[in-house]
Amino acid sequence: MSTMTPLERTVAALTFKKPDRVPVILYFQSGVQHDVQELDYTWEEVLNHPRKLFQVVELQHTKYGADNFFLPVDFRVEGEALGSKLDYMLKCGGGMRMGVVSDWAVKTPSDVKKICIPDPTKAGRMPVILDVIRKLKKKYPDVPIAGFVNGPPDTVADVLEGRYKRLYVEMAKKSSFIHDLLELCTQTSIAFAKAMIEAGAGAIATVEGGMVDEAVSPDQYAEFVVPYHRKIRDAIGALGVPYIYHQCENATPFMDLIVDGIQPALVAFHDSVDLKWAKEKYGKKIAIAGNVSVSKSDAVLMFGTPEEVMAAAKKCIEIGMPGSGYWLSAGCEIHHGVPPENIKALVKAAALYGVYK
Amino acid sequence: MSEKLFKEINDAVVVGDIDEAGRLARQGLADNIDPMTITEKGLIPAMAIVSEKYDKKEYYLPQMLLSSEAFYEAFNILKAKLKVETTGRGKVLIGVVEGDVHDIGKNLVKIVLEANGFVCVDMGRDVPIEDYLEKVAEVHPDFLMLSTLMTPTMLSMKRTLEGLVEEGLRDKVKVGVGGGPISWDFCKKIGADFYGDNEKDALKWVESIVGKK
Repeated sequence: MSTMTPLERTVAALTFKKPDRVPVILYFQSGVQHDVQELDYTWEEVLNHPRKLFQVVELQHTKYGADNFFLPVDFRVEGEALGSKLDYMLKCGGGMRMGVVSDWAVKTPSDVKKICIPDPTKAGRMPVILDVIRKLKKKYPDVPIAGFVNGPPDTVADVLEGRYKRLYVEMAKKSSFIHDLLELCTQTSIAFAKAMIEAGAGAIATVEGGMVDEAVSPDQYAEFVVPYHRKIRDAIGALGVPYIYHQCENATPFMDLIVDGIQPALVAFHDSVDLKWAKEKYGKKIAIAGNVSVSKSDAVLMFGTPEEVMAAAKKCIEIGMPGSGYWLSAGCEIHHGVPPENIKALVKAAALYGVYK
Repeated sequence: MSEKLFKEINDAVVVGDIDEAGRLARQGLADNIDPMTITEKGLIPAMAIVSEKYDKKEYYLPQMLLSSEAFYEAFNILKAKLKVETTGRGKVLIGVVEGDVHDIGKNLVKIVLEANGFVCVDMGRDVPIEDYLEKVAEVHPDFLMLSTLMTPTMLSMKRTLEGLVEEGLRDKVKVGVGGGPISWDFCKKIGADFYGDNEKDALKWVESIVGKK
């Protein structure tokens, strides 16, 4: 029996108070594609039209029962606002085409100086996101909205020709313009985050997608990742808004840097992390979320039945819920390979197994 | 004299000094040293050192990719002077599957295979299934190597295998798969021949098929 609104539930869990049940907080990304198709839209339409995007995002709560709204539902907003161009050409099933960067804003180091921090009320698709957040806030004041900003290195990969490969090589060369570019991307995310908060977002969520354990060392993480996320965290923290951090792949080698250096309000764990280890080691110091498998070849959310999803979610809940400070979540984004009934199974599991006495 | 150059070019690749690696390759040619010998004694051992450092976590992707750039700077200069050998130790068709644009892992496999005498036909990333099928029919590779980093695009890998069967090409090529979400289980499920966790696994596999030099 629900006795709290999604907002009350989510905040209670985040702040280690006792919620009525474990909240289900999801990073919806290409997983909304099922609904985009049902509404007979293309990705290009839905990402560029506020009314269409609103219709799709609204379903995250009304259809699937998540305790939050999550948007943008793609990763390219900052890159596009900084001047990169998208083409809708990446096939992702059902004849749908996602946007990918086809022309990068930064080709040479000197290009960095030519780019200004974009105005979120005007640049690229940022105004679309802000408009949808305002509408969601007005219609669903009791459902928290997580505004998503790209991790600064991920935005660099969207604006720098050569993508991550070039970023990695320039890091190894110790090219100073990479820090200039990271700073520009950080300030862009801060401006966007502040605008989303003003529009009604109650939290800012982020992902570090390319700086993963198999790619970079803890020292590189400390230099190229931590200080930039910390700036975003501090800027929104000054407004009283929590920073929700997801590290793709195995966060284990970086956890101390994340918890002590970035100091987010919550870390959402990827499939690769042992949730029990995370809860025991960090669960009193920081709120955690996770991590029903969604991104490995045996991922239950993608390939399992709803019953199997519920069983996996039950295991996570049993680890996470004692002492509060826990959101039930998928191990990564909800992508288009996840069947809708499996998303609903997560919510059903929280209602069945996640009730606090 | 040659030994000194091999050592210097080796060092240049290991530390990722692109300009120096290129300069030494040109100097080697100017000194009339056989380009294949420079490759075998200078470049290939260098990438072995880099790979070892990566395994020991002394190097991570940034250093490894920088060394790869230095390798290619020298290798491309030398390759232009090598006697044309169309198949090397074996021909490998390699690419990232349709729907995925992450190609760093694929590139690392390619460099190690090329450094060890395999000829790679690089299909790039986000490659339509039909393009793989056409290319397999056209160039008759010994191996097809498919990569994906993302879970949703694992389906493209499966469909590429299905396409090979439908077109009657499956028994003409050995298929290896790899990438973040891929596993042996998945490899078996889709009917591929081999799964590798990294570039060394890939090299071991193709060498086990063609026989070591």
